[in-house]
Amino acid sequence: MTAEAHAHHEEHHSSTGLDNRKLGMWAFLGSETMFFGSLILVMLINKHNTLGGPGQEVLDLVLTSFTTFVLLTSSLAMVLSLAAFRNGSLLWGRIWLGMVMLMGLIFLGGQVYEFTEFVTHKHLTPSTNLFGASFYTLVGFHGAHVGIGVLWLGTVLAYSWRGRFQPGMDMWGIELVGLYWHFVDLVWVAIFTLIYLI
Amino acid sequence: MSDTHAAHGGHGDDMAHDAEHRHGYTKYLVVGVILTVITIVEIMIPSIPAIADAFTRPGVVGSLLVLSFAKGAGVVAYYMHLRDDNRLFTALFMFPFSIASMIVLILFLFFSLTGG
Repeated sequence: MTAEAHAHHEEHHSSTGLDNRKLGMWAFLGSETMFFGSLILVMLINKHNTLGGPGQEVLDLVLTSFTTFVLLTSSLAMVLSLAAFRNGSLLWGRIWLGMVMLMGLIFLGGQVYEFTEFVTHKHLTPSTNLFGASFYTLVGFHGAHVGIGVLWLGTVLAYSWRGRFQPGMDMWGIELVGLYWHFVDLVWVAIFTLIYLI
Repeated sequence: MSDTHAAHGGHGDDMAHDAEHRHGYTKYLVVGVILTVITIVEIMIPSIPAIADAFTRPGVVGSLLVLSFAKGAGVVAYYMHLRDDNRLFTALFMFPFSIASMIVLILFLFFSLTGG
């Protein structure tokens, strides 16, 4: 192992013997469940508060089913990317990582299209009624998380081109963004069922 | 990486990685196919009248919640590696998740019953 690889392999163990970066990420994800839990609750309570205006009937199940499939597949690509990097296959690791970014962007594109349709054709804005306010807040915050995830993935991909994540080095950078990305997917699983299907 | 192994030393960690490499791809693909199938079933239940009519409204909601929970559990256990990882990570995630779920359930029932 080279000196550089040795430096990158440095452990960050806490008093528990576990890596503090991973502990921090799991604690952060735990706090995010509370955050999204409160937003989902507000959405559920206000689902029928439409003041006679547009409500749940405007939701496009076909488009959202497609973007849900894309996000689920991106989770598979993410875990395959991590496995490829661990196997020492930098090329496949980067290809899968690029695929995750692409699918994240497709998801965001679908969301932008959905929001535009709602505002321009269905006349549902955040100020129309409580349904609109709750919907845009919940789905918008989730979209923001996807956007941050795409930027983070881009950073990790750039690092891999600059010599990081070579065989023998630690893979924490990829593992942490992977945990974040899977969590974003997990939140969408809940939103899709509770808001779009039920 | 499983920190159960990392906490006990580098050699065990390497062995865990090798085992994961051998079985990882197949396992991830199988989980991916299962998640896709569950999603298709979820979409079919409320969308196809013949299926939706076969259930009562609570039946539709209940089955969708169960399927959604199964999907979430699959992502957390296999893609986020919580199944093979140290239990402290499970506790760190499941404790706030349980509190959030209970608050959502209790307040939703409260607002439903009081018409708020």
